[in-house]
Amino acid sequence: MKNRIRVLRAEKAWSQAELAERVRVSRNSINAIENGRFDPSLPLAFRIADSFGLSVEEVFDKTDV
Amino acid sequence: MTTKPLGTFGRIALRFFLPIGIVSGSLLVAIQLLRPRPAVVEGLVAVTSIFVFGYSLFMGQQEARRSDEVERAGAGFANSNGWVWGGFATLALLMVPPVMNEVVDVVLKLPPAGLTDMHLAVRLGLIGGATLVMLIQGLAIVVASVIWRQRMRGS
Repeated sequence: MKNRIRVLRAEKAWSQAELAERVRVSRNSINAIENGRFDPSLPLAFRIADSFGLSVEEVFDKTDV
Repeated sequence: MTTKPLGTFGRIALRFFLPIGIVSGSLLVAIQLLRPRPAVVEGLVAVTSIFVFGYSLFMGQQEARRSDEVERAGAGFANSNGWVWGGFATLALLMVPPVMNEVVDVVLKLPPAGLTDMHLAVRLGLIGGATLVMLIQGLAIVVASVIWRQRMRGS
């Protein structure tokens, strides 16, 4: 599932490790989600969206779902 | 959760493989020293197998607690595929005559010279075989885990 995590991180100047710490997962997990290799669960998707202050639809692209 | 893959492998190597290696190595030494007492050897092999299995389950639960959902998904992939691959790999390995002959020779050497208790030798063979299956399945799980990590990294 495509997403805008990399762009949003760049806007906030967050590293993958910083985002990982905010949503309580490992940096490798953020990397996998960011590259579309792993689709997060709903709770994790909400935590990621909340960390950016956005809705889930604004972070993740559901067109390929 | 960890942020360094090398740290994860280092931690698992120290907390899992090192104790297993020490116990298994001690068993091999004990077998050589206790060959005149096959019943004791059989008991030690059984206890070691139970320890390896039980400790593996315990460590698996410990690691699951520290893992996030991506890591748990990877563990599920590694365990489900590793068990199957390891089982088939062990069967394939044992079907190769030189390997099977070597395993049989090792088992036949376990009872002291002159002892004709083939029932004991078969029992030792069965326990050793089960341990071999678990070891190869463990290796297959590690391989599957590496494959998962490579997929998640996109390489």
